[in-house]
Parts: sequence; C-alpha cells; structure tokens
Amino acid sequence: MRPHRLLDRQLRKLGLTNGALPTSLDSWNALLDRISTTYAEADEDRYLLERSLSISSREMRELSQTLQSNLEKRVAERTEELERARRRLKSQERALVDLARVASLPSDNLESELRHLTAGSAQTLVVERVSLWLFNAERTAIVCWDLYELTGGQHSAGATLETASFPTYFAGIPGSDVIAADDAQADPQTRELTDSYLKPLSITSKMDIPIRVRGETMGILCHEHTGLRRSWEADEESFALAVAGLAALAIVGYERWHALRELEKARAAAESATRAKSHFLASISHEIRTPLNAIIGMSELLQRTPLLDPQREYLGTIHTASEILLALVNETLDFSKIEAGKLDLESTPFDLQKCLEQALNLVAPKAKAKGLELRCTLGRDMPRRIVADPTRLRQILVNLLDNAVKFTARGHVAVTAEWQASAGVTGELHLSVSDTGIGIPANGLSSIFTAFLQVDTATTRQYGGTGLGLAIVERLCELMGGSVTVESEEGRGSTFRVRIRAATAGEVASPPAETDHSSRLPAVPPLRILLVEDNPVNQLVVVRMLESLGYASPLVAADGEEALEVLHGERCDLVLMDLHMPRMDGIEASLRIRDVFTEEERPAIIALTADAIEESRIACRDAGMAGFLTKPFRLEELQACLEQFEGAAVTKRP
Amino acid sequence: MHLQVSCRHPDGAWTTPLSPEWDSAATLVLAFGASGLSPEMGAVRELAERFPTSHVLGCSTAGEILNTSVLDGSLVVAVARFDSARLHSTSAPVSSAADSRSAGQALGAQLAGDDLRGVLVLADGIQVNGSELVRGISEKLPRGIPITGGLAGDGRDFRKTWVIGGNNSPPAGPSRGGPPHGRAAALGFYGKALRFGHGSKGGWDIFGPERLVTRSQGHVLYELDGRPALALYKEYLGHRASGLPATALLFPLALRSEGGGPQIVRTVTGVDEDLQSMTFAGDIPQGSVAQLMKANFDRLIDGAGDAALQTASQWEEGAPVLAIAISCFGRRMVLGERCEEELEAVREVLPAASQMIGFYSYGEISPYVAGGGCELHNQTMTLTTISEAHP
Repeated sequence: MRPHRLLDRQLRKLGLTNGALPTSLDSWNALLDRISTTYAEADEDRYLLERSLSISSREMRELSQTLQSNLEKRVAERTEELERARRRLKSQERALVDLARVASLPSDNLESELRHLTAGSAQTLVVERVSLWLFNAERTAIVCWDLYELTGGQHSAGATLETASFPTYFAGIPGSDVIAADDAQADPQTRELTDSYLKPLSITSKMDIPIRVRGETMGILCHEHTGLRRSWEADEESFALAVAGLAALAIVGYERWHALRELEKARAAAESATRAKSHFLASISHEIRTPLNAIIGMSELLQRTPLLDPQREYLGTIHTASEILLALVNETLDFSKIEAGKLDLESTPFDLQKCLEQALNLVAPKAKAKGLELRCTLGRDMPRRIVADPTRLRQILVNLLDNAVKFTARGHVAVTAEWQASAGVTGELHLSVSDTGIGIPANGLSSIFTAFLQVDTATTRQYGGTGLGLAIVERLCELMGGSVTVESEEGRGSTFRVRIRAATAGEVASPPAETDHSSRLPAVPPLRILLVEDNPVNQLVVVRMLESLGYASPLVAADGEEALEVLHGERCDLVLMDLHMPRMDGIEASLRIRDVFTEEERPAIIALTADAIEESRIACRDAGMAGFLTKPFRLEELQACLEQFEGAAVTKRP
Repeated sequence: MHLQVSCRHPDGAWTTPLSPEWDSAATLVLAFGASGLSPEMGAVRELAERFPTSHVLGCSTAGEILNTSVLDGSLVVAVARFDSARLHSTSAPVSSAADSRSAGQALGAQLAGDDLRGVLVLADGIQVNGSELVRGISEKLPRGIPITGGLAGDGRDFRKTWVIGGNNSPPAGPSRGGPPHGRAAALGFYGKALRFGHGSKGGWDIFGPERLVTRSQGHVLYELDGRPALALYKEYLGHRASGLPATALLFPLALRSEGGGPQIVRTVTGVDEDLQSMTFAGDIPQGSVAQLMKANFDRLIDGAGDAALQTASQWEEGAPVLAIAISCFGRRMVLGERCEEELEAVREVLPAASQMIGFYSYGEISPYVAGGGCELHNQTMTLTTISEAHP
C-alpha cells in the first residue's frame, strides 16, 4: 500500500523512500517526531473545530431566540398598528354613514347640510379647520359657505377669495382629485396662499378636495391643519373624498328640492284647474238636467192627453229637441270624464241577459215607431252572470243600438252576444250590433270613432247627434280592456263588433232565445211607492210617469224628514229618493232608513238625481240605495228600473 | 534566456561567480538581501557597478530563499539575460500609507506599453500600504496584466527595509533611483516570447462562521457583527488564546468583499486589550466579511506546491525558468524549522531547468487567480515564473 501523500513526503524528507528502513536512531526519532507532530496538529484542529461548532451552535440558539422575540414584538406592534388603523377606519365609516344619511335627502337647507359635513370631517380626521367653498356664478371668486373650527366648535361663513389673486392654486383644482400638501407653505400647489392666507391662520398642512357635480367643479372642501406639519394618510384622503362626494350630493339634493317644489306647484295648479272644470261640468249638467227633466217629463205626459194634430206635432218637436239636448249633455259629460281619466270602472257580477234586455227596451219604442225588427241572440256557452261594469256595458250597447235604429229606415237591428272562454273564469265577451241601414262610406270608416266627427255634415243635419257617441264607445271599450271595430257597406248596413275582457260568475245562461221586444208590455205592478222630491214640478212629472206606467199614485214627501214620517205610518216597497233636498237630503234619509227599519220592513231605495257624476253614485250605494236614476229620465228608463224590484218586492210582501 | 543564480554568504564568499559580461539592457539582476546589508555600499553597491546597463532590482528580507534553502544575513542574486524580451524598470518614493496609491499610479503610468506581459513590484515593507499601491498600479494598466511581488522585510524587527531599482531615475548615489527607504520599484516584462506565470496559495483552514466587519479603520479591526473583535477572536481560540499575541500568527483572518469574490488572508500583527482591537498586515475594509483561519503544517506545505502548479501553464518547455518565490514572513514563523519543506514542495513541481530565488516578505502581491485583479495577500506562498520562448 502506498503511504499517504503527506507521509510519503515526510519519508522522502528523511531519505526513506521506497519502503527503506531508518538507517539511524536519529532518523527514526525524527520520523516519530514528525508523526507525533501530525497527531498533535490533528488534535488541535479537532479542538478548534469542536469549539467553533459549539460556539456557533450557541450563537445560533441565541440568535434564534432573539429573532423569535423580535418577531413576536414586531407582530405585537404590527397587530397594534393594524388595530389602530381598523378603529380609525371604523370611525371614518361610521361618520360617513351618519353624514350620508343627512346629505342624500332633498333639502332646502344647504347651509345646514354643509355644516354637518364640515363638522363631521373635522371631528373624524381631527383637523383644526374644515371649510367648504363654492364658486360664484361668474367663477371669479370662491365663497366660504361654512368653516368649522375644531377648537371651540364654531361655524362661520362668508369669506371670499378672488380666483385671479391665486392663479396657480385655482388652475390646479379642475385637474386634481386631491390637493394634498404636507408642507402647505412650501408646496408648489399651495405656496401661493402662504402670505395672505396660510401664514396669518398658522396653517401648516392642507388637503383640499374639489367638489364636482356632473363633471363641473362647483367648489372645494378644505382640510387645514395648524401646528406641527402633518402627513396626510391614504385613508384620510379617501374619507375626505367621500365627504366631498357627499357635499356634491347635498348640492344636487338642494337643486332637486327646488325642482320638485316647482313641479309640485305646477301639479297643484293643474289639479286645481281640473277640479274646477270637473266641478263646473257637474254643476252645469245638474243645472241643465233639472229643467230638462221637467221639459221631457211634461212633454211625454202631454203627449198622452188628447191633442190637436198641429199641437201633437209641435210637442213632438219639443220632446225630440229636449232628448237631443239631454243626450248632448250626457255625452259631453261622459267624454270629458273619460278624457280627464276620471272615469272609474266598476267590477261587479251581473246578469248579462238582463243588461241586454234593458238596453233593447230603451230603443224598443223608437224601433217600433220606425217599424224595425229588434233581434237578440245569445251564444250557447254564454254565462248567465259575468263580472264587469254593467252600467258602462249598457251605455256601449245603447249607444250602438241608438245609432243603428237612427240610421236604419227599414229592416232590422240585431244584437248577438258570444262568450270566448280563456284561462279559468276569465274570457272575452263578443258583442255585435248590426243593422240594415244606410251604412258608412269606405272613406268614412277610418274616422268613425273620432270625437266630434260624423260621416258628413249632411248626416248631422239629417240625423242630429253630438258626434261623441262612437268616440265614447271606443274609449269605454279600451278602458274595459277591449276594442270596437266596424264593418260596413254603403246602402246595405253596418256591423259594430265589441270585445271586452270579463270573468264568469256562475252558471251558464238559459237556452238562447230570440225575443220579440217590440210587443212587450209592462205587467200591472202592485208596488207601493214613496216619492221623495222637493221640487213640485219634478214631483208632478214622476207621479204622472208612474201613473202612465200603470202604477198606483205614489205617496209623496218633500224631504228626508217627511219621508221618514211617512214610512213610520205606512209600509212601502220602494222609495224614489231625490238627493238634494232641504232639511234632510237623500243620502242622510237613506242612512236613517237603513238604521231604523229591519231588513224585512225596509223598502228598496232608488236615487233620483241630476248629478250624473260617479261620486254621487258611489255615495248612494254606500248609503244602502239599490238603484240610481239620472234625471231627466225617460219613461222607459223608469220602467226598466222599477221592473228590477218588482219580483223582489212581491216575494217580500206578506 | 541565460540564467544564473548565486549567493554571497555573510563571510563574503559567492557560491558561484557572477557573469558581468551578461550586462545589457535586456538583463535583469534580481537581489534579495539581509536588512542589515547596506544598499549603498558593499555587495549591493557592487552589483550596480558590475551591471551598469542591466535592470538591478532588489530589497531587504525576513529570510532569503535560494532554491530549497532559507538563509539569513546573505545576499541571493539571479542574473537573467533575455534574447528577445524587453525590460523597463522604474521606481517612486512612498513616504506613507496615504500616498501609496499615487505612487502606484506613477509606477503603472511608466510601465504601460505594448506587449506588456507582467509586472514585478518590490516596495518598502514598513511605510507602504501594499493594497493601495497595487490598486494604483492596476489603475494605469490594461485589465488582466498580472502584477506580482512583495513588500520588503526586516527580519523579525519591523523597523526599516530597503528597496533598490528603477533605471529611469537619475543616477544619484550608489543605488540608482533615489534613497532606498520609503520606496517602491517596479519592472515591466515585454515581448511576445516572454512567459509570465504566477501562483499564490495559503493553505490555511477556515473555521467558524463568517462575520461582518462592522467597525474598522485601515489596518485596525474593532468590531465583528457588532461585538468587540478581540473578545470574539479569543473566544474561538479557547486555551490557544493564552499565547497571544505571539500565537496570533497561527490564526489569521480570511476576508472577502460582501458581494462574494475570493478570500484573501490577513495576518495579525498586534492586539490591543484596552480597545479590544486587532491590527493586521493589510486593510480590513468595513463591510467586508471575515472568517477565522488556523494553521496546519501539512496543509501550508501542500499550499506552496499548489501555488507552483498554478504557474505551470506559463513554462516554456525545455527553456530555463526563473522562479521568484515570495513567501510570507508569517509562514516562516509558523513552519519554523520546517519552512524549507514548502520550498521543496514548490521545487518538486517546477521543471528541472528552473532556478528559484526569493524571500520571506511582509506581504505578497499577486492576482489571486490568473487574470483576476491584483491583491496584496498575507500568509501565502506567491510564485512568479519567468521564461522565454525559443526564437
């Protein structure tokens, strides 16, 4: 084996190469000496290495402990710092929520809003001076709307800075979101303010936020710190930005409040004008209807007396003219109500067949007089009762039937009703009114439903009318969720088709029937009737009408009190009640009747009024009245109304 | 290249007669002698007179080296006459550590030129800051020119050293180029045929963790990692610390710049118990990283052989090689009687046609590795080999 490289050198040094033995004691000793030295050196080396290792380990341990404790200390410090920052952010957040609550409402008191904002910002950020400035209209100056000083908690306002005096500062505002100057007197953004503003007020640090509304800079929110210079933190800038945003909101709120006030004024004026118009229409119609009632009623009665031919002819003209006048008044009133959106539709269950019959009954006399046949056909699936507005539906039918009768010289007028069911109880009512009349020229079809327009002026001269009838029909159909259409051939007749949305209420109608209304006559009614009416002319008209319809002469009372007295003495089936009377009016009287009499004893009450407006109708229903007749009414209307109560009254009678 | 070495013993006898007929502008006369010899008279002066046109360069030592022998009180001389290589020598006064850099710059400026292959520098061992001197020379030379050499010694006394050489200076006195104390002399080797090899190796073992120099000034170290340097040093040495400051030689400090780079070695020259500071034979820059070192005879001797191996690429095959061995005085102290063994380790590596002279110095100058920046080292064996390619 070759000796170790180093041993080999030792041996060579001693001349002991190639495995030679030492030649002398000296060289043997020298060899031992060298080997011994090498061992000693190895020991020393190990001593130093082990020592260095143990010292290093100890140092590492100590270092690790120091690091650990430093780390813990640092973590604790950092945690504390974060906690402080969190608390600060929390308080800023709370302050913002409070401020936002105030600033976001439309308000007329901008100064008070701005005072909230300046004080809130100063207290939250602990800034000595917080002020809010707005540019004047010419933007030549900026005016302090509020300055809040933290020490003393005082608000003040009114200071003004000319923009021309501080060109650099004001030039910087539009392009900046935040003008933050820790050293305001040296900062190039705010240095200009030093001598005249910052120094006299001892302001050292400044943070200004432009207030922008719709992109336009309206003013600035200034945070001014006094004492030792202050370094603005990012969260403080964010808070100040939010407050400036709230100031912008407050300004917008202020503008909006003004706009709302103007709007409110305009609306109030419009409403008052509408009310005045409505009131005027109601009162004028009442005023016109009362004398008309007398004219129509009396002329009808007069017609039943023996007259000379010329007298009968003159009387006929008077009667026709007054009916036209009544129709005009009614249609004008209806149309203006529809146009004003004041027409409220009812939604009640009613007997459709009856409704059709009532409408037919109203035109039956005219048809009979012209020798026209009236036909009515109900579809197979027609429900007996449907939910809709019966009054308005009747009005639609009467208008269409009236027209049909008016424009037909010979032949017939036919009504059909069909039910088109859709989901559940809902469906569509299809009505048609067709005639064999003069028809409508093709060029007139498109404008037939336009208000105040008839096919031509010759028509007006020949047939009369307001030109509102079909316009009202169309509007009512639309209000009822439907439509009206027309087909016509000149010289051969017209067909009007109405579709209305409705719902069924109960069983299917009795088998369809073709009824001849022309020969229908009233049965002798055994009803006992009380008429309550203060106007003697009207009293006479109604009494004569009842007599001519074959009813016994009614009892008569001049007002509500008198009516109650009469009812206490004598039992009646029906009361015809005027509404406007001295001492006790019709509503009051109806309420008393309802209170005083049991359901068995209580008579049915029908209101008679010249008030054609909806409110009156509702008031009547609320007072327990069962029907409503608008004066002036015609014989047929009175008859239709009374017939409704006949059966009920008879069964009630002991 | 013609090469001869000789030694003048204290009794005045030369081992080999010198050959003054080799005197020429392309002749180098290298002389290392006892600090007790006067550079202005006697044998040293004789050299200058016998080789009037040659480049005579030399300095005092802490032990002269001639091949594998270590001598004291002698003068060892090598005479080398080059066939095609050119020489240029210069010198500059250095009166303090502070002007070492500017002296270096003056030397560098004189030597810069075409075909410069390498520079040999000898400088005063007491008054010169070797690191600054090397820095100054490097600044004036192209990158990659190797600078080797050493600081003159004064036996064990650290009182006074001498340096001779520098043909460019006016002949004012027996040693050409000015007074021999407080002086640096440099020689440039030029020409394509010249082979300039260098190697430098410590062979010390490092131990303990690396530590940051947190307080120091020039050669004085005060704090490592914020702790008093001396206390830390003693703590690591344990019972070996009882021999301080004498045993400090065995425990030098390894230094490197904080960013990395090679470690260089600094020998402890003194300690101050009051200030808890340590003084080194070289700069201890603040911010550098230090690590303890310890001596091991076998490894030191191995290190010397390794230094010789580093020069091997620059030997011209079959041609004579002049090997200039400059070893640290500290190594001689540590190795003691066995210091000849490091010379033997070097000699074993060198080719047969080599002649080696040199000296134990107060600091060695060498690039740490081939092509690297030149540095002042302590505690190394620094070997420079000069040979010339056949024409």
